[in-house]
Amino acid sequence: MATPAKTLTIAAITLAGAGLLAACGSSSGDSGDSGSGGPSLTITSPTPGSKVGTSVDVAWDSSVELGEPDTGRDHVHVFVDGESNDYTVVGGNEFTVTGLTPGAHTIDVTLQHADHSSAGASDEVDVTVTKSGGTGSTPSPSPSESDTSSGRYDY
Amino acid sequence: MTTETQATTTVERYHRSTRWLHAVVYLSVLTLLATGTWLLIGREGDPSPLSELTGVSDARLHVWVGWALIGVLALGLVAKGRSLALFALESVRFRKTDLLWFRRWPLALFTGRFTRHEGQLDPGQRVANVVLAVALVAVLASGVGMALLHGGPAFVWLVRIHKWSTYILIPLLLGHIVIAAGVPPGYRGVWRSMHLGGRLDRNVAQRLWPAWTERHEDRRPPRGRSR
Repeated sequence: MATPAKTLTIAAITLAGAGLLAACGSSSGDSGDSGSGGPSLTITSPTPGSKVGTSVDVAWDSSVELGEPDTGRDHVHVFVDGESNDYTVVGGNEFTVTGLTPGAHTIDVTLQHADHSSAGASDEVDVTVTKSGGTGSTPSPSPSESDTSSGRYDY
Repeated sequence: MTTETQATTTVERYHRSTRWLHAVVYLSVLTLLATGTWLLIGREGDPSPLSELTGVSDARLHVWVGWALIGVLALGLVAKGRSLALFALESVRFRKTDLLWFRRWPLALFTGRFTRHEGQLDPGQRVANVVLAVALVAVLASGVGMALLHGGPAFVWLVRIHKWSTYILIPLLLGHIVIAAGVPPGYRGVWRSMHLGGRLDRNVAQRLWPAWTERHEDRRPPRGRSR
């Protein structure tokens, strides 16, 4: 006959184990686009293959309402060239990436839950940075109230 | 000969398993405080040295170490359940004479002349234990809730509980570290009770926990008698 203390302990171990599995699963579940029925995140600007300057305005659409993590809503991580640990938290739908060096770059956005686990949606766009700047294919989104980014991404 | 002399001048306050549990818990808690503070000051996404070292983002590291701490505490409950229950009971036991200990404590910090108390832990340790345990449970429970919910209105409340219980925990832990490290002269030498073999000078033990030291020595087998 298990004592209440033992039962509680077993429950705690099970919970911790389940949590670890959940944590590992959620971190590795960021495999690109969302599956059917899941949330979606799509970069609307710049368009793939755009020639841009060292600063580029990035905008996206999300199927879920976005906000800063402490609002409990999902948010977006923006990073460049696959450096997924070096990102900027953005609670809105647009962000300006600055300090890009000339050459080809990939701009990544991933949808994250408020606890920073993956929400399962992501998108990326390839751009080429030229010294002369954009060719007109990069629209500059006007600032909106939903742009609550934590800061500018210097790269 | 040296061993015998050492045995008579030092006392073992905590067993090896307790010391290891304490070490793993404090290393986990310090990692959580480091990564948590990093996130709190708005450095999220800017990899900390720890994140650079492990290749894992600070947010993920914080969650993983949090789960690991819960696992360690659960294992500790299994392995040392009875000892932890006694430790908890001792922590909530107060006597009227403890008030005198508190009154003289500020001076004793410097002189080392603490008022006698009858506990295994001194009255200050007992108060700290209770507040630490409550704050730690609040931090861990809210952390588990946040990790399981991922977001939403309840998450917002859990974030507040998590932050505020951390604010309570930090000064308590700092106080614990300062005292345990023996920064106040009255507590010099106590750090040995949890580290490097767990044997501390008998005089230090007698000064801080007189009744426990006497009981501990009464329980020791007479020299030369096999057990």
